[in-house]
Order: sequence, then C-alpha cells, then structure tokens
Amino acid sequence: MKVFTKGRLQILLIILIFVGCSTISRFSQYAYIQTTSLKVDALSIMDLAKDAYSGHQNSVFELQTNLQKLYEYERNRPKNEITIKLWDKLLDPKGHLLGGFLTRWQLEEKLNEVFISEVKKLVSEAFDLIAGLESNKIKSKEISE
Amino acid sequence: MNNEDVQDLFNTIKDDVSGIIMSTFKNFRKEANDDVSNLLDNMQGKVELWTQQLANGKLSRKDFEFLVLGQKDLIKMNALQKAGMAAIRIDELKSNILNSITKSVLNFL
Repeated sequence: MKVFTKGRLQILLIILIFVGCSTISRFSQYAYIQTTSLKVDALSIMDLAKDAYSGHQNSVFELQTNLQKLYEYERNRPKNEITIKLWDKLLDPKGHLLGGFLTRWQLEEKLNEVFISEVKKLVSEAFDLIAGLESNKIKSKEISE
Repeated sequence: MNNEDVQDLFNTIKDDVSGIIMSTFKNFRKEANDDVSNLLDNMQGKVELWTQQLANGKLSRKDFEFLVLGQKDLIKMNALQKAGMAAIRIDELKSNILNSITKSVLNFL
C-alpha cells in the first residue's frame, strides 16, 4: 500500500468527502403526496370564490391550516431552502398566486369566474413546480445503488 | 499493486469522472433550454388571451394586472425550480462519481 502516497490518499479523501455531501434534500414521499393533495384542495376551494367569502370561510381556514402544516414540515427538512422559497412565492398573501388570491377574495367577497379560472391555471402550474422538484429529488434507495 | 497500477487507477478515475460530468451537464442543458422555450410560448399565449378578455370586458383592469403579476411570480418560481433541478443534478453527479471511484478502486485491488 506504499504506492498510495499520503498526497494521493488526501486527494482521494477530499474527493470522497466532497461527493458524499448532498446539495439539496432527498425525496420525501410525504411532502410529494401532501403537495399534490393540497393542489386538488386549493383548486376546488378557488372555484368557490364566485360565491361570498363569508359562506366558505371555514373551508379556506382549513386549507390554510393544512398548507401551514406542510410548510412547517418543509421548513424543518435540511437543505430544503429552494422548496421553502417556492412555497413562500405561492403562499405570499401580498403576492399574486394562491396567497394573494385568497386575500383578494376575502377583501372583495366575490370574484369574477373568468378571473378565477385563469388564476387557477397559474396556481396549478405553481403546485406542479413544487411537486416536480420533489419528484426529481434523489430517492434514498438510489444512493446505495 | 505497483506505482504504475496506481497511476492507471487515477487515470481511469479521471476519465470516468470527466465522462460523467460531460453527460450530466449536456442532458441538463438540453432540458433547461426546452423548458425555457415552452415557458415563453405558454406565457405568450396566456397574455394574449388575458388582453383579449380585458378588451371584451370579461376581465377588469385589476384582474388583468393580478394575472400578469401572477405570471411574473410563476416565472420566478420557474427560475427557483431550475436552480433546484441543477442542485439535484449535482447530487446525482456526486453519487455517480462516488460509485465510479469505488468501482475503480475495487477493480484495482
């Protein structure tokens, strides 16, 4: 083993340490299922915005609570900053996706059906981006393969 | 294992790693270009539709502005997602390099 000089072993060790550290969180089945499930819930509730907000306040509150629960889960996963930033954009109450839509519905009581239909397309794409990123993450079993 | 064998081992690792890096980023570059192209086509179609709906009175000016700003938020999300995909590719690359090094070392022992 003398041919493995100290310098060469150090280089090999540095490479192995470098390649052993992950850059982004691993795939989470829970996060993926919750994201796709909440997408369906969110789009259904958005359809209700043609009616008075006061009549659906409880449904909106339930959706927001479920979104908050998933957000907290995501926030506590290591190396998950990009997914958190994606959720921040989607849920921002002052933004122009799901969070902003719910704020506007609450303020204006009812929203125009054409508008609802078009915002739904944007919100649907936004959920797909989050779910798409999660589904592309490396599954733990793939690391050992 | 002599000095020459170890040199061969390092050369093999170097060649394998270069090959892995080249193929990983070649594929990612193509995927990213296709995605950006689809995004721009898709965005143009939406903005044209909203402009028409605004002109027909189906959307208010406030609705139109919300949608355009929503599209802007979505573009930012797309950029973030691409950054995430690049990070995943880097992790895949690291994993492939680790496997390649392990395989090469085991072959030489």
